[in-house]
Amino acid sequence: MLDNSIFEEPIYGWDFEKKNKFYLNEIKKLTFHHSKNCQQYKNILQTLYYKKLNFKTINNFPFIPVKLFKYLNLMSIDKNNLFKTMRSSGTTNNQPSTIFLDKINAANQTKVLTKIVTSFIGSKRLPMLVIDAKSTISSRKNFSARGAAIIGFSLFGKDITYALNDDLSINYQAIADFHKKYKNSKILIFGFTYILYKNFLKQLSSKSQYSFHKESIVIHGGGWKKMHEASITNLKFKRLVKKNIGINNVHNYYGLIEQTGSIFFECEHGFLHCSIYSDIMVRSNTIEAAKDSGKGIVQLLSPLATSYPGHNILTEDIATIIGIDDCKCGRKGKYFTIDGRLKNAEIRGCSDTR
Amino acid sequence: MIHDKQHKINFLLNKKYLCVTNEVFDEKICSFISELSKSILKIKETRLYPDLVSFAYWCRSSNLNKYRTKYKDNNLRIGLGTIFHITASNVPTNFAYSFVFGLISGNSNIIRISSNKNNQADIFFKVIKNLFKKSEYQELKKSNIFIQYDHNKDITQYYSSFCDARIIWGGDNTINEIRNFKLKEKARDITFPDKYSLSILDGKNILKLKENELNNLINSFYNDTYFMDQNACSSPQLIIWLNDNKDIAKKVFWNKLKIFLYKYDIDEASDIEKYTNLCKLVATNNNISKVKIENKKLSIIKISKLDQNIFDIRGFYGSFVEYNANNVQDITLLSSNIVQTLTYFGIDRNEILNIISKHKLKGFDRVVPIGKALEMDMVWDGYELPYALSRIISLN
Repeated sequence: MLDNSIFEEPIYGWDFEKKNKFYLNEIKKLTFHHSKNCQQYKNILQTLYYKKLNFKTINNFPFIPVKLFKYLNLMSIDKNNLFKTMRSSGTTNNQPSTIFLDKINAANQTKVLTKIVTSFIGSKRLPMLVIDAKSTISSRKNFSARGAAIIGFSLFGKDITYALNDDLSINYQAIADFHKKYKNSKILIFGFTYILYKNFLKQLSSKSQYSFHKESIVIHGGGWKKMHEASITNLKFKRLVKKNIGINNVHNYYGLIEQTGSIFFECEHGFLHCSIYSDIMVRSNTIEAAKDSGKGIVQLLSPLATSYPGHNILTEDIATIIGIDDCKCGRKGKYFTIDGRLKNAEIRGCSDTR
Repeated sequence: MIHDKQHKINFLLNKKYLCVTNEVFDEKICSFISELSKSILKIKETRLYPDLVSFAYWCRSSNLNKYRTKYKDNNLRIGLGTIFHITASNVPTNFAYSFVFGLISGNSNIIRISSNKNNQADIFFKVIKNLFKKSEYQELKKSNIFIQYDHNKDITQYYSSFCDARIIWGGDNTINEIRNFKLKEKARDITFPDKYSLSILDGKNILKLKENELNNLINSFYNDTYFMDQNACSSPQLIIWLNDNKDIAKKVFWNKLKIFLYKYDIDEASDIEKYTNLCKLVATNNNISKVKIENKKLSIIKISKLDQNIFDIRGFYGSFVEYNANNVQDITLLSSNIVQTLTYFGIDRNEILNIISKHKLKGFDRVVPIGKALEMDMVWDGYELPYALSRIISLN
């Protein structure tokens, strides 16, 4: 389905015109592909978009909300070809999203993740400290978002060490051993932003600070909601990393389980970047066309989503697209910041559920 | 048992509780309620909340007298005792109506209200606090308590264990959850489960309307639906059209409604929730032929046949199912206990009633003109509440 030549291209090398042309064609093809192979998706196109299927500008293409993956099992493949089922970490009141991958889709995700991450950290595997508990990656068949991310990023590490105990308290012994062994090597630290902050950085006192090699890299992702609540900005977070573990090189990333692999990596100037494997638009509502600039609700495009109709999805995150093709870091494509998440709607009505 | 839990309960007014019973429509109770009505209307902020104004009007003395004449017959009827009310969290005045139902039937009341921000409730409690200072209301003060608590089995179990009746609003899930807690053998549950409501409109008669009459109709329809995000059990989900096969009246109706929608607001999260719901519905329901998304406030879901599966097609924030029927008789296809309110326009009410009576239709608890969908009444979901919450003394 997806032309493999895209994997030979420079991942931040396409300008707007080139990328737009490719996406217009590719996302249109995927829209027809999923309509042909996923009955529920077809029903949505036929009944909701019966008069306005318009493939002239990508900003008007039909999209589906990410929450739909919570309510429906959407797949565009024969059940026999199902290779991996991914589930988001749903909270108690919240059903998890379920994403169905065949071998090709899963392999492409991994390929793309590798290309993006190695472009930042180099292709050599680094000693890796995971700021989480080993038990987070328990079941391989049903991945949680956190578990999937850890496993995904473990590709880039060696001697993978878990810094937290099962109760998410710090395993000082493990860290001390790791530190002793690798204090003179470039290492990789990976974790979920809030866990990294609350269960690690915040717990380290002046007595238990560690100083790692200065070229080491911290990669973190998983949302800022709780960080906003704790009033920790990206800048504050970076300072805390520097102070407590002596690392300057800190990269946030933004990604969704609905489009695993094609993550948006934070550049040296603090902006999240689209690679050629994904694109972002923002919209102010579900009716008007999506925009390529300014602030709005995040809509994400991915040419990788072939086994499930996740090629054009509307999230509930808010972003500001800062610019296109002209970031000081030199990478082409759109770059943006995530500003938060929409607050849950409080509907009126007699029934207390929903 | 409950004493060690008491710190988890927020008593809004009085804490001490004493059960007192009265006759149905007792005079001093009626005068308390009408004073409550008057005092609420006297407060300036009340005007900001049409639902609170409606409540106050509903229980003003002239209306109470009308009810009194209807329900105060020659029989001796006395309240059951203690009523435990579990009220709906997202209908701001629901607790107030429930309270009046219990009180007017001669009972003492323990009313659980949600901890959600509720401006209407704030006004209500400001007023009632003052009334309870008066010497003549000291007994009422002790025999009616308003409580808030987060989900807590022990507390619900405690109040359930000694009340004489329990009123459960808040739909199926709440009812199923509360039903886990036993009542006394003699006690009764009055439950208000999830319901489905619909409207029936005659296209020919809509086209006959003068401009101002059409405006009134649309305003009434707006109040029935958008006022509660189209998510009240009595707000119509389905619009059955008669005499409009060419879709002319529909166009007039929806276009006019769109003008009225300037005052309705949908935030981004609700917009997405509504769109998600539409996607979910059309993805799985073969009966939906198309959905016309007019704008973010109005979507019209066209269906190809009328049957009971329609109860699964539920919208909110202005998502209406629409169907062209041949005659009123088609409502017999919807005979089900889940059907609550049928609002109508341009159709003879008797024709509807005759069909309900001839076919002994299930459900159809209310048949009222468009504009009265949200109007509470002493009769609700088939219960005559003053009688459902009292007992009658047999004198034969």
